[in-house]
Amino acid sequence: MKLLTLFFIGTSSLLFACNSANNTNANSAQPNEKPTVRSLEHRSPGKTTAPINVTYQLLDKPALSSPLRIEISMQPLVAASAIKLEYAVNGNLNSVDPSTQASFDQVNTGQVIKHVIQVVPQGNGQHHINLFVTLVTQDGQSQSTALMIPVTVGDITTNQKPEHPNKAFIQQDSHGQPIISVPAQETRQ
Amino acid sequence: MKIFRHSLVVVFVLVITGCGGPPAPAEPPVLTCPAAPTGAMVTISGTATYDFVPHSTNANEFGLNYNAIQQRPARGVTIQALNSSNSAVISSTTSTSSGGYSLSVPNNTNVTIRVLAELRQTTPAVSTFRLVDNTAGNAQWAMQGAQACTGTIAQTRNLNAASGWDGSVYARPRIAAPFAILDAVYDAVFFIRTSAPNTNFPALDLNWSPNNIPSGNTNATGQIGTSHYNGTGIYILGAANIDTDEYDRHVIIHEFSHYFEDKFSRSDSTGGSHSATERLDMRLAFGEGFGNAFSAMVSGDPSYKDASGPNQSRGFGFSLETNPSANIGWFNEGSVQSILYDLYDSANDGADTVSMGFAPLYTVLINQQRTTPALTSIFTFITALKATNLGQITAIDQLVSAQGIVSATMDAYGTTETNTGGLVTGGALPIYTPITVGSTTTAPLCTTATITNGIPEVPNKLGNRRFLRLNITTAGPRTVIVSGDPASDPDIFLYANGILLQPAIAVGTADSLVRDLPVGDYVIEVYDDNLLFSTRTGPSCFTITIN
Repeated sequence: MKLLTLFFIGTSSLLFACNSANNTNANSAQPNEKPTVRSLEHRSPGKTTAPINVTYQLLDKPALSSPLRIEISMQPLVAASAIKLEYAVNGNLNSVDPSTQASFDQVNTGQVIKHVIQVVPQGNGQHHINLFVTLVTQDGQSQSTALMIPVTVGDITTNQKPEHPNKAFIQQDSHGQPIISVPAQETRQ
Repeated sequence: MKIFRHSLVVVFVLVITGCGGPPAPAEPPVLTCPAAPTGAMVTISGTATYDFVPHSTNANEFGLNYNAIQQRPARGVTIQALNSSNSAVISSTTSTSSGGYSLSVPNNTNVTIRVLAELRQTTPAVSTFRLVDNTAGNAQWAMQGAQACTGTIAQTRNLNAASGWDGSVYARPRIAAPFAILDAVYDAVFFIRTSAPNTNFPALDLNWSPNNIPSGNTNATGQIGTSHYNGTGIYILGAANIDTDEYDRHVIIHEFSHYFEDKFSRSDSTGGSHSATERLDMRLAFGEGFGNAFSAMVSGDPSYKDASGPNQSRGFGFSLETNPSANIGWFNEGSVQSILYDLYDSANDGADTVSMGFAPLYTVLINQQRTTPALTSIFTFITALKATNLGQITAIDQLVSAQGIVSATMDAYGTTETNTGGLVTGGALPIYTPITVGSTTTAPLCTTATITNGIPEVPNKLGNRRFLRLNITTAGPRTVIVSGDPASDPDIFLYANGILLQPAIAVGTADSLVRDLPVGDYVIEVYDDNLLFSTRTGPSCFTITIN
């Protein structure tokens, strides 16, 4: 079994190359050097996340009609009176769990909670599991984070194009720049 | 179903026929001109607005409240009159601060009004902020009215960008989103120009799409991971029912702050995911703490809110007025944001007895913080702020000390800092180990990292990397050598004023670099690649020599 390990901490861990002018000489790899300066690849500041680390592992290789187990790990950064997990599937995924929700009471700071969910792909392509984790703090405040777990089944080279808004259309301005226009709500007098 | 056409005629037919579901807003009929143009001009005026979806005002709730949608003015946006026959722009203007516009157009001509999601200001200099769809070839977002004859007397045409919400789901195009994002930028630009009226903002594209999901790292396909600034543009999440940020003004302004740092100040941040309770690399802690504080300053709202989840009904947030309860210190973005916001705000509470406004902070950000030889942190900022505001030193020290940071004797390098962040002795302090040419560190310099479930933490935490301070008094070629234990793979980064002069990233238990160095101050960063990017457990300790 091939173990696919993908991880997210908070909502994600981004790996974008830095294009700051300060660091333009940073990627001149020499023999026996690591291929990139990994220290710099993380320089893509993202938004602040809720105080809980959420990671996941695909425990099985995604395959058509085969159960796929995904282990969710949740580690609060503050003490929690409860941690609630909920997920929803889209694309051709079926949940086979008795419930798409789980709850864990009284979780200490740094304690790791694990929960395994199970889905069955019903078609090839790129599917997603939307995962929502809510941490209820000791003073009753709910802090939620959401992440999207991609599940790739089969060859996805032909069917994954972003969709565009219904009723939108693209024009070009006089400089050749594309403009995506959407009808406005309009009143006239 | 995707409807994607270049033909206006086809599009307008589609608009009129609709696509099922709840009834669409009434569309004005397509009109034709009964007479030919005479050469005279007429005026079309009106107001451009967008739907803004506010957050819940209930305590401890951070989701969006679709029952309280407001129509807000689309301020400072470009409004064009297009000749309906060929889409040529025949007149253009910029909306007022109340969204108003007025265009002079030929009479008896079929004209369409288009509102571009952009701020294009020519005073004091050309500054352009555009909202584009990164998943559609960076096409610029716009809303457009129907074609209608200009006639012979003045007309009013009011255009609103709708949220697309039908009461339970996003059933229609979410064209309000790019205008909502742009309006947050309008506030940020206005805020900065209040302190620096002549600021010339470099062009910035803000990338939003309903396809922008919290997954992956391929911006062109919408897999943007999270809302972020990447050095060239800001990317904003738009994934309905999972995480949308178009109405999260704090998030947008936070990301704008990274653009501001990049273009006007300096950030040496490692980046990577982070939260307000973590013990972080001090560079990251300052950048993110500044971002959060700046979002509260600009919005005038110290309650940071970020909606997500099914129907955008959940989320998280915190108050900038509430100090962090744990892990306070120079490594905590919560401490940094608390200090910066309290320096700014007019409300005094607890240790906060200072109200400086933004101008003194701005002055430090674009001067000393940009040129400091140390790495950017709360130390560089506060040291400069105190040096330039002598009458406020006592109040600043009181505020900073309350966050577990030694302030009275502070310098830009945090030389007198005593807060270890709970790490083992030598794990975080001294923040910079002094070293001179011809010497070797007298004690091992140790780094630490945590592994959870076999996965290394994001390498942006306190103690992941260590720093040395090198003063060169005689110019010449210098060699930096680092050696670790048999399981290590140490790397070196040599900086001058935040600029990376040279990395040394060879594989092996030792590394070195040679560089001709002028007289001056330098910073050396060291870490163990095996500790941060593999599954080795720490600590990992090094010896550094300068020749």
